[in-house]
Amino acid sequence: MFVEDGAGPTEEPFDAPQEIAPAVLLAACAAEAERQAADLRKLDAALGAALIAARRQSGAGGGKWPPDWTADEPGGEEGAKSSGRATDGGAPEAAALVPALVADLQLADQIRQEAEGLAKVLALLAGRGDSDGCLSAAQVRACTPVSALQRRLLAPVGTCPPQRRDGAAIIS
Amino acid sequence: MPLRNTLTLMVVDDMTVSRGLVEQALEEMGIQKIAFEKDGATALRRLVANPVHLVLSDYNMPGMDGLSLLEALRLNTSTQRIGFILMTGRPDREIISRGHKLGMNNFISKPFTTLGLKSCIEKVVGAL
Repeated sequence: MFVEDGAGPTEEPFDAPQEIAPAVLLAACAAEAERQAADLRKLDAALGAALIAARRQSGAGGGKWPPDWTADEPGGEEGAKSSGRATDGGAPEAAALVPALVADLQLADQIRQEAEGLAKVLALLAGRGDSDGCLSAAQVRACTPVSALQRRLLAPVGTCPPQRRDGAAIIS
Repeated sequence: MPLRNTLTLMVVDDMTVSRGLVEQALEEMGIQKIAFEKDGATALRRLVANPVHLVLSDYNMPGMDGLSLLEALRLNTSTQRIGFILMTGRPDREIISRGHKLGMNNFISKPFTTLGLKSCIEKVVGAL
């Protein structure tokens, strides 16, 4: 029996093409990676606000400093930093939650940076069109804000095909 | 009075989670006089008007990146002596060497631990 997932909105049937040019697919991948990176940036704001709220609830954070600055909140959009200490019964639970949140959020921050880097590398590739020539490692490094991503992307050993004077690869 | 009670510090990072994580670590160390900015240009304006002892800045920010902020701070008489720590997910030789030439005092790789950040700060300002 086929059970439809009724949780989300119904989508129109999608007639995918029979084939797709690699360059077109690469451009679509670049756009998709940028979309995911943008979603992760939104998630960053929400998770950051959750971290700050958990810390406030646990009683962390003192008075606002410096007192005459108005937009110096971590995140700003999360609202003014509380100058008081938590007094409700949720404080111990929130205090226990913060260390676990910190470890997960370090990972979330890293994934967000890697997604942004990957999106930039894909955009770089898509922007080259049909060119077969090699990219310089410096171009790739400039796109990647995280060392681990750089190492993973640049680790595969591959040599560029010899180039003709006009830049095209020589096929033997 | 321990240094952590008097040390004034600004964190510059465009991402909310990252700022929250730094704030969490700094408060674990007992540092409470912490200002935050989301971009280098606003941070520079604020620092020129109200200098702090130490700036902790992300490298990868849109517009003015961490090293451009450092360069601007070192060119301004009211901010040129502020301690500067660069936070980066990509501590490659080129960035660190450029930072040292511009007068960076220390750097820390992301992700970091509270202990790692404390040690990094103490190498610049002394025992907290």
